[in-house]
Amino acid sequence: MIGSKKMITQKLAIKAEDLSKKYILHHQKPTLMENIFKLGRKEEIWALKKINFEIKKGEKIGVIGNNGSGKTTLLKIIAGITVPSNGEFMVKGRVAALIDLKAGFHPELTGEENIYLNGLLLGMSKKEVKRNFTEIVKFSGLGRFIDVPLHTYSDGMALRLGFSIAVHSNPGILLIDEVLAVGDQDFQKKSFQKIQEFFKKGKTVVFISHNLPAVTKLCPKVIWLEKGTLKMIGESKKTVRLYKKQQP
Amino acid sequence: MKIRDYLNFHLAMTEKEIKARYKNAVLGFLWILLNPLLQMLIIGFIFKNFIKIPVTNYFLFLFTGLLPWNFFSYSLTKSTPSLVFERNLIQKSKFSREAIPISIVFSNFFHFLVSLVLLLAFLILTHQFLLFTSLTKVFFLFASLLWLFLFTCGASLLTTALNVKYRDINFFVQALVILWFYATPVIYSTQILPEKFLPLFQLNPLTYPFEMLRFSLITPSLPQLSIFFTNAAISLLIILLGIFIFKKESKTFSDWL
Repeated sequence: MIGSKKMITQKLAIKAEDLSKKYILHHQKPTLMENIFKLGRKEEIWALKKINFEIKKGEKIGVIGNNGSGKTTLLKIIAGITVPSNGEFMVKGRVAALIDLKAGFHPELTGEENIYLNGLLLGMSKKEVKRNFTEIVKFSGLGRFIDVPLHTYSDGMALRLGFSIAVHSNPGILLIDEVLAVGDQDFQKKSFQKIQEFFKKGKTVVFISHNLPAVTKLCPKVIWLEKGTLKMIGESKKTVRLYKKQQP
Repeated sequence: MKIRDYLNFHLAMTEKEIKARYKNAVLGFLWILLNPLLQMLIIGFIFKNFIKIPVTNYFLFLFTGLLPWNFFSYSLTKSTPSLVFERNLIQKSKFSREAIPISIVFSNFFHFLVSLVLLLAFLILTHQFLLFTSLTKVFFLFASLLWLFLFTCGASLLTTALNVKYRDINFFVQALVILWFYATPVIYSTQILPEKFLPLFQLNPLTYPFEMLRFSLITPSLPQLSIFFTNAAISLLIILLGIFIFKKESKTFSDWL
C-alpha cells in the first residue's frame, strides 16, 4: 500500500489540494502608523477558492478562463512567486515561466553579463549557464551584440535573449502565459519550434491562454477557472466547447 | 539549492551592483575614496577651526569614523526601498529575495574594505601604522568589521522587509540616518564626552564597533565594557528580528508590490 502511494506521488509534477489564495485589497497604501492605530479600509479578495487538481509528469495542460478568473494567481503560485493562503500545494522540478522575459535584465550590463545574472535568477547554477552559454547566444541570434550594454538593444532583441535563456534553463515544468509572439517572423518560428520541442520531450507544460484553438491543439487536458473556482477539468475539446457555450 | 549555488547567486548580484554603479561614472572607482575624503575635508575644516575637538590629528580621526559610517548609512538607505524598485523582478520570478538587500550591503562592504586598505597604506607610508603593534588590535579590527557587517545586514533586512508593506519606513529611515550620524561617535569619540552622557551610548549599537575600529587603527583606549554588552545585545536582537521578519514576509512580497 505504502509503496504504491509513493509511486503515484513520484509521477506527479503539480498537485493542489483545497488551494486558496487571499489578497488584501487596500484602497490606499497603508502606513505603519495607520496599521498601528487600525486606520484605513481593507478588503479581502479570494483570487482562488479551494482548487483541486493534479498534473502528472509530462502532461500538457491548458488553463482557460475569463479575466479575473484566477489564471495569473495560479501561475504565480506554480512559479513559486507567491504562496497559497490555504490548502496544500506541491510542485516538483524546476519551473521556467515564460512571462515578462526582460524582467531580470539590467540595462547597464552587457548581454553576456545579463545571461549570467538572468540564468542565476532562474535558478541555474553558474556551471549550467557556462555550459549552455554558446547555445543561448546562438539561439538568440544576437551575434556580436552580445558584448554591448543591454540598453542599446531593441525591444525584440532583449525579448529574444530572455526567451533563449528561459528555454535553455532546462526546466522540468514550463509555464507559458499567452501566445508568445517574440521577435520577428523568423524568431517566432524558431521559438514556436522550441516550445513544440518541449511538448514532445515529455516535459510538463502549463499553457495559460485565451487562444482557444491553440489550447485545444497543444494540450489534451484543460483546466477551466471561473471567478477563482475550478469550474471544470477534463478533455480539452469538451471543456473548451462548454466554456465557449457559456460566453455571452 | 546548494550552499555554493546560493553564495554564487549572491556574489553575482553583488557584482551587478558594483558594475552597474560605476559603468557610467566618469571617475569610476575613484568615487569610493573621493566621497569620504571630501566629507573629511569639509567636516574636518569646521571642527578643526570653529568648534575645537581635543583630538590629535583630527582629520585622520574623522576619516576612521566616516568610512564605517558611509558603509552603514549607504547600505541602509539604499537597501530599504530596493524591493520596491525591483518589483518587476519579484513579480516575475522566484529567487531568494534577500539577495536584493544583501547584495547592496555586500557591494558597500566591498567599497568599505577597499578604502580601508587604502587608509592602512596611508598609515604605513606616514609611519602611523599601529595595527601590528598588538594582536588585540588585529583582533579588534576583524571583530568590528564582522560586527558592522552583520548588524548592517540585519538592520537592512528589517527595514527592507517592512518597507514592502509600509512605505513610510523609507522616509523614517532617511530621517533616522541623519539623526543617527550625530548619535554615533563619528565626528567625536566617547572618550572626550562628559561621563554622564555615556549611558546614552548603550542604546546605540553602532557605538562599540565604531570605537573598536578606531581603537585598532589610531586611538589608544576603548569605551567601558558595559557599553559593549548592551550594544552587542541590541545588535543581536536587531539581526535576529531582521532575519525572522524578512523570512516571514518574503513569501508574499509579490502580493504587495
